[in-house]
Amino acid sequence: MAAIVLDNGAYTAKVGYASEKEPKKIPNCLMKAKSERRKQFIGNQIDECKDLSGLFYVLPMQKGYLINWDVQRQVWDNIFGKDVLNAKCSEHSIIIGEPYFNFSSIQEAMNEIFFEEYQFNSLCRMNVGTLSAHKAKDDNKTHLCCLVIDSGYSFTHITPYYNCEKIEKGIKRINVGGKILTNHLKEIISYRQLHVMDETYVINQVKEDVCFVSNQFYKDMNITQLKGKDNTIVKDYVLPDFSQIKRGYVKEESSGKAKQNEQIVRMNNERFSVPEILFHPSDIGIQEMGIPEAVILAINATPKEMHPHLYRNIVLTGGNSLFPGYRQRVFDEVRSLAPQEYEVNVVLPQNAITYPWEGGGVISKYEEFQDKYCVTKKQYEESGQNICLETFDV
Amino acid sequence: MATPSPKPSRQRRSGKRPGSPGSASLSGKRKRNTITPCSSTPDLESLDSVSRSSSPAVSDNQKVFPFKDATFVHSGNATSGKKRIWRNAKQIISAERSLPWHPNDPTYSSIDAPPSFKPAKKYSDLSGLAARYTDPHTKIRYANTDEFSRIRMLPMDIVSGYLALRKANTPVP
Repeated sequence: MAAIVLDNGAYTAKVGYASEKEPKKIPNCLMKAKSERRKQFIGNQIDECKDLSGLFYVLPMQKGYLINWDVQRQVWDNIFGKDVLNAKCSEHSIIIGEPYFNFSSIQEAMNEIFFEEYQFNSLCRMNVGTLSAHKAKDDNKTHLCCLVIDSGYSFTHITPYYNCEKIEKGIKRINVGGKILTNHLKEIISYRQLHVMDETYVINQVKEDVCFVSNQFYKDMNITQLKGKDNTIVKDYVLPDFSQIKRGYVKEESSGKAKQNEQIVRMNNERFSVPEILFHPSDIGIQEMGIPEAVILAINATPKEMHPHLYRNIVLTGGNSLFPGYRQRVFDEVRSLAPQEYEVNVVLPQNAITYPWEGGGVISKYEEFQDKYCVTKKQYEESGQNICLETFDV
Repeated sequence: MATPSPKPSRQRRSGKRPGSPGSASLSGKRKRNTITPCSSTPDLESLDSVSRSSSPAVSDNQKVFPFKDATFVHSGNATSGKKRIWRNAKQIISAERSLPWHPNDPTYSSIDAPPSFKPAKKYSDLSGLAARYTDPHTKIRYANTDEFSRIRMLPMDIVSGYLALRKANTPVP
C-alpha cells in the first residue's frame, strides 16, 4: 500500500506518491479563459490552453480555508483520476496538509469525502507546518525545536515547534500572502500605467519574475528616483500577447520605450515595495505586524528554555520565500530584534514550495506511521468522526 | 404505594378544574421523569451487551449483528446523489467564534498578529516614491511639485481609488 501525499494549497496543490522525489504541482482551481469561453479548465488542464489572457479563477479556498467543495471535488477528481495520478484510491493511504485551526465543520467534511467518496484505505490529516517540521527534523536531527514561517497564498503563519509538536500559544498569523501581493501589484500598475485588472495570471508572473525583497529599503528608494543609467533597479517588462510572445520577459535594456508590437510595463519601485508588504502590512492599511516582529512575538509566547533553540532554527517555506533577498531580510531583522546572546539562523530550503510535501514523504516512512498518525477506513466506519478527532491534531 | 396513588389523582382532578398552569406543568414534569429512566436503561444495557459481545466478535468476522441492517446505505455516499449545501466562510467563522472558548485559548480569530509598533511607510500614491508631503485637500501623498500639480487635476473618483489602495478612504466626519 503506497501513500499519496497531498499538500492542498490554496493556489497550487502539491501531490504525488510518497516514494517519488518530486510532487506534481497542480493549480488548485477552475479556470476560464477569454479565448475559449465555453470550456472550463480544471487543474493542470490549463496547460492545453494557448491564450491565457484574461484568465479567470474559481478557487475552492477562501482565506485559506476550504469553502467551495464542489470546485475542490472537481480538482480532486482530476488529480486522482487518469489525468494526474491514475490511482485506485481504495488501495492507498493519503496524507493531507491543512491550515492551522481548521474549522471543525471543514474537518468533518474532509473525513467524510476522503473515506466515503474516494474510499481511501487510510487517512492522515496534518497541519502543513507540521509536515515541514518533520522534514526539518529529518534534515537536521540535532535540532529539537524549529520555527516554521509558512508564507503562502492566503496568509503567513509563524509557528514554533518542539519535537514536531506545535506550540499552539505561539502560532501567529499575518493576513498577507501571495494573493494580496499580486492584487496590490495589479492595482498599482492599473493606476499608474496600464489597465491590467483582469490579468491576474500575467501579473502574477510579473511578480514572480521581477519582484524582490530589498535589504536597504531607503537606499533602493533613492536609486529609483534617479534617471538614466544611474537607476539600476528599473526594469522594462514585456507583457505577453499570446500570439508572438507566449510568456512575458524582462527586457535587457530598460529605455522605457516599446517597439511597435510590444506592450511594456515599467517596473521601478514596485519591484520591492510590493514584497515589502510582508514586512510592513501597515503600509497598505493592514494593521498587523510584519514577519520579523511576529517572529519575536511567537517565540516569546513559548517557554524561555526553548528560545535559543527556536532562534537557531528558523525555516522558511511557502511561495513567498522565493523572492530574492527574502532570507537575508528575515535574518537581518530578526537578528536586530532578538536578544544579543542568542544565535539566529534562518534556513531557506532548496525547494520552499514543496518542502511540506517532502515532509509527508518523511512521515510515511515512520514505522509507527499507520498506528499513530492514520485512521483506517475500518476504524472510521466503526467509530465515525470521533476517532478522527482524537487522532488528528489540527 | 397503593393507598397514596388515588390521592394525588383526585387532587389533580380537583386542581384541573380551575385550569391552573402550575398543575399541568407538574404533571408534565412527572410524566417526563417517569419516561426517561424507562427508555434509557434498556439502551445502556444493550450498549453494554454490544460492547461486551463485540470484543470477541473482532476475531471472527462472520458474526452477524441482529441490529445491523445488511442493506444499509449511508446517506453521505456518493451514490445517494444528494447535493449538499455548504456553508460560506462568514458563517463558518462566526459559528466558530460563538463556541465556548476560554479567553486564553488560541483560535482562528485570536492568532491574528497584533498591530505593529513601527510607523507605516508613506509612499507617493502616484509614483510609489517616498512621499514627504500630503495634499491637505484630497489627502493624497506626493513626492514632488510635478505630482502635486497632477493631483489638482485628478477627478474625485480617481482620488478615492488611490486612497482605497491603501485603505485610507474612510469617510472622515
